[in-house]
Amino acid sequence: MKNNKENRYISCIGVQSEISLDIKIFFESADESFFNYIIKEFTDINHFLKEINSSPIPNIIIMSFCDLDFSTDIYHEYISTIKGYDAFSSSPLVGIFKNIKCLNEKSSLFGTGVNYAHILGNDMKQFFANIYYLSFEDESFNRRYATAKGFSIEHKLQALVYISQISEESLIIDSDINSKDESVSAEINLFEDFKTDNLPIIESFQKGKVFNTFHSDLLKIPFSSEWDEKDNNLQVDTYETWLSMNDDIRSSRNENILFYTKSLSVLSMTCVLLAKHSSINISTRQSFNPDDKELYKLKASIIFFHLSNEESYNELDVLINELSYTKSSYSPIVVIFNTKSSSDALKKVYNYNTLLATDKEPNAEDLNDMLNLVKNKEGTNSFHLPKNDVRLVAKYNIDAMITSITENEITFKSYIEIPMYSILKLSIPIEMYLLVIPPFRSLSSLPGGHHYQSLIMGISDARSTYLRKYVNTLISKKPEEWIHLDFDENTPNTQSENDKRAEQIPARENDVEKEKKEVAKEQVKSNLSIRERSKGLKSKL
Amino acid sequence: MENKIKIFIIDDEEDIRENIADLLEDLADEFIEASDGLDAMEKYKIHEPFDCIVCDINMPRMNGVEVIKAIRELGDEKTPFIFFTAFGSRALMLQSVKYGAFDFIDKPHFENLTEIVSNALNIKKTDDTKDENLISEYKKLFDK
Repeated sequence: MKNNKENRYISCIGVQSEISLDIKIFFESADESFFNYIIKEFTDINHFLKEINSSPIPNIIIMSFCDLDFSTDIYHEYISTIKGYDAFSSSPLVGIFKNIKCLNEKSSLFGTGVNYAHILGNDMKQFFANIYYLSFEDESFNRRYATAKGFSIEHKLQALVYISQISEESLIIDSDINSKDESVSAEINLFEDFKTDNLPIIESFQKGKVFNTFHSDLLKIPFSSEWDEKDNNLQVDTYETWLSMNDDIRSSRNENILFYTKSLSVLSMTCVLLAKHSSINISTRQSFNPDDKELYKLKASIIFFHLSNEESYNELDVLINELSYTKSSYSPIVVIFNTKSSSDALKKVYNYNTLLATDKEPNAEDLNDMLNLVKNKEGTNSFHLPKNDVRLVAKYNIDAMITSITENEITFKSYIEIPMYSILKLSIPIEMYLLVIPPFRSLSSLPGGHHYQSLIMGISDARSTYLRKYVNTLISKKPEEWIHLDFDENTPNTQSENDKRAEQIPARENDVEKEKKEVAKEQVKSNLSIRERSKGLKSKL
Repeated sequence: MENKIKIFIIDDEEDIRENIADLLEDLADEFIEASDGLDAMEKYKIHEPFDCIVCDINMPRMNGVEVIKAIRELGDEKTPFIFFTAFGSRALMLQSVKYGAFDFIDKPHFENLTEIVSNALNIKKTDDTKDENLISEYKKLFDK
């Protein structure tokens, strides 16, 4: 009976009408004994933010980035705010892009919180199967593809990482990969002459400094030695010239504010403030966690703390203890909302003087007035690029052994620990993005390492067709290394548009198939979840 | 009829209660005293409302946190509470702010008590100017 079903929510933001229709048809066909799929459409992200408090937390967010103006960083900031907030951190954010060029230009969105990318015009069946698995760990719609396997081809994969701070001698890079070595092999794209093979790690931190990643590294820039003619590293003069000539590219958001609130209305308010105050970066968090050292990484000049329940009082106590009793000279202004106590009382309780208390709830007018007083920091030696600047996207090289490929997935082995839902890039046989997922196939083990499964994403219809042919070629040739097969982006797909459309939407199953799946579903439910089975590896969802 | 200022003094030591009443004699028209938390609740129901409550945070039978919690639960959200504290009261102080403790003063250093009670009485009177206070207080902190 429908009333006993669990609800699952899908939020569609700015999605084109034809795709929106496909989404509705797919989830109607997915409707079965256990779940109701409720789709809520929003015209754009501002509409989503306005209704954020009155809508349930979605199981999946599908957002179109096709027609948005990316001349400012505001969309990156909105995504970063939403996905950086605990309540939404487990909701996959699926992005729809016009074409590969658009995706590549906006690839820093992966760092802010986009988990999966789909190119308009590519196979919708594959798209639905992949996002369904991503959201619900359910293989029901996964398709079986021709698989080239039985090899172990050594290849360098690249993990997408993000430059969050640039200084005269160092960079801070936010990534999901925790390199246990003393240096990282990285490809930096700040400018063409930025050549370096290895960057020594000075210090590592939990969580990204600016981006939604697990980790960040402070890296020393290895400048070339003037005495070594064979040294191909970056010249210090070149770097200094670039720094001085690119003053205008620095992000204007160099004043940090931290906001702790359990209210989605307030989260929405902070997004509005981000749009109004382009010199300020507001990091909004659902709770305070001392372990991620965010206080010291961001060095926010103001911390807004919104009290709401017993738990939040305890968090406030821990936060101000951190500020009061450490030896650091960092003492930001702390503004506490929704407290019945006076500022004087709280100063005495916490032994902290730069504190202000009010019994008011956070409201846009007061916050605006307070932020208007915040001045731009000047004269700092370090800066960061605005989040929409693709030059901040760098890559860490990861040694891997590719073990199988289909037109939808790649499996590979590596000794590097890669958290689930990390984004990688592979450039052969064609350029593609990979999303590491909890495996739904049984994979052989690698002593001391891991065997990973990843979904191929961010490719066009033409590239999918090419991959299909490539896989078939590999199956017939059984190679020990990648083989070359010509690729032409303009090769037309031989399927007619009608045939393609007819195949796009998964057909309703017959009753026998349905029953089989229901039995299988019960079995899956009684087992451990796939995320638990993924051997305790960290997960971004 | 002119409003009389009434202050409630709750402490298990009679000397302290008398001392407080002497210190505050110019600020209030009437003082009601209670010797512990349970006595305080009985007297509160008889004599409320109060303009200010000064209370020892650490008392036997019913401590200051339990008193403020009980009074808040009776619907009195606004009467300012000023607590006397001593070394080791931090845990109780932390709990009392959840119910809106107005301020704290260390026993037996009551030098600032008159100023603190005076502030509490003024704020209770001028409740409607809190909006202006927030931004102006914030500006003072910011300019430091």
